[in-house]
Amino acid sequence: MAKLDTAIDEWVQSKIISPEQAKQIRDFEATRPENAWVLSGVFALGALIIGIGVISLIAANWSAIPNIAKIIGDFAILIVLAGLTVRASVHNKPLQYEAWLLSFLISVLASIGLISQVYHTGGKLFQALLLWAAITFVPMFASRRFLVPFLWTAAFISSLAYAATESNALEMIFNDNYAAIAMTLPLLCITLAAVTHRLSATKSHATAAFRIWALISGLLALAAAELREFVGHGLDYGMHSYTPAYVLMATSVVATLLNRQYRKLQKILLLSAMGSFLIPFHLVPPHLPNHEMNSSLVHATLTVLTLGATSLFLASIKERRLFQWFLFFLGLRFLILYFQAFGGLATTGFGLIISGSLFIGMAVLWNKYRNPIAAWAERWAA
Amino acid sequence: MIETKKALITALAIPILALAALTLYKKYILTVGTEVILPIRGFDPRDSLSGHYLIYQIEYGVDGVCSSGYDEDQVFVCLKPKEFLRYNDGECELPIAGSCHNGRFEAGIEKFYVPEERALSLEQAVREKTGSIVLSVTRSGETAVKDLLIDGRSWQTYQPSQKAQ
Repeated sequence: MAKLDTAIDEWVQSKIISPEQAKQIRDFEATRPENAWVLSGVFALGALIIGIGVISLIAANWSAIPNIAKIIGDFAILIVLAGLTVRASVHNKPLQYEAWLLSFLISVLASIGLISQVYHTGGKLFQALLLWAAITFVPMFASRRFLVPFLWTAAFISSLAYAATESNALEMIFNDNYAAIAMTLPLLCITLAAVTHRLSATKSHATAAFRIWALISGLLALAAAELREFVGHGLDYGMHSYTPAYVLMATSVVATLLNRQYRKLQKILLLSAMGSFLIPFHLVPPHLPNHEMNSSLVHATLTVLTLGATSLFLASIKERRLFQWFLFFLGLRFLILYFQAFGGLATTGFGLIISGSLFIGMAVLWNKYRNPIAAWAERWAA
Repeated sequence: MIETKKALITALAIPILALAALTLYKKYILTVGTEVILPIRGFDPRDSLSGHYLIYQIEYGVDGVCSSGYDEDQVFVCLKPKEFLRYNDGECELPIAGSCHNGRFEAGIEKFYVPEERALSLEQAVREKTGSIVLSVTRSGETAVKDLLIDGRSWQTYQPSQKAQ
């Protein structure tokens, strides 16, 4: 609010807005106390504490309570939390609504734990998480903010990654090929984002969460593809381990081409990013002389291309903060490339001075030019 | 995406109904299944405990269980007659459905929740091979754990000193 007050004073002094408009803005903001992030944080924390409390109750030793009482009590908690969520929705209390919804969803996970405890089911953690993700998929869409879909997606893709290495059915597909698993997850998120975007009439937070996790898991996958143990071993696992990724890639391409909101250049950028993302998982040019060095350089180039195309795409859809993050990662990759190329030099005194100067120089350049670059990219791709 | 009160109630009811169905399904297996008692031994001779859970291996008394070494889904240990089956052709009277993972048969019944204060003594008893598990098995192979027995008696009545006496 202090920042806003300062900005409003500056706007009034610069005659951008009148003093009456300044008062109207201040009055309007004052009537929206629930938008304060501190309050949001407190509510989210409260919801998390309730959830953890429920889990602790289950984890604690309550052998004296009959199993039937535990089950009935658990369902009573679920019904009360669902009722409170509906009540907050009816009374138009957005923050309370999100807090109760989050508590409800966490309690569903706790209930799975309780049922597992009472009936001694010997399932694995990923099975419990996948069951939770499946039965809370629809209620997740009831969220009117970003946090719940973000947490849901995090739990979903991490349990899926775990299942890919533990479940017999998925192990048969992925064959313990971690690179293929890493490659599949961001494409799954892109597909889910495309599907939810198409199905929802209004702006969906679930779509935003799937997009963010597509970017996060995509970055992790790029790092995985560049790690030595993944390079050159992908093909040994058999091409079938990449089948889910290619199926998802095909659906992502179709969804991108059919998206009416994206312009032609935006579609080209997105498809380029996806294309250059896929290649490093397969590309090892052993026929080239000194192929180890060439392979590192080819991988670095493809990573830079992927990050560059993604950041330009993000700028074109006015996601300035994400664009700046990707610009930062692009700079980071260039720095790593420097160490890859001149690793020996970096251990000398002279090399350290150059390395330190590069770090400072890139930070200064990034801080100075990130907004102009974002503005240029937005204009270029618009 | 979910805007109306009716849609919200429906959305919130889905997990509750799903959990209720899961609970009733487990209860159904316990109610209609045939009771079977099988001996157990500690999964790891040094440490059979994982949190509040006793982890054990069930001694089915059937030869060739998961002996191929391959991971397989939907296989059966038939208790009557005793044989290992890759398909349940309906001739087995007491089949336990499960999967082969790393050469072991897993049917989701290899864990038993125990209270913290009883965990160590029960672990000791299982390690001394005095434990057995009471299962409820349906004709189609679904299985649920009914009870843990130590020296033939429910774990709830078991006292460590009884063994010494």
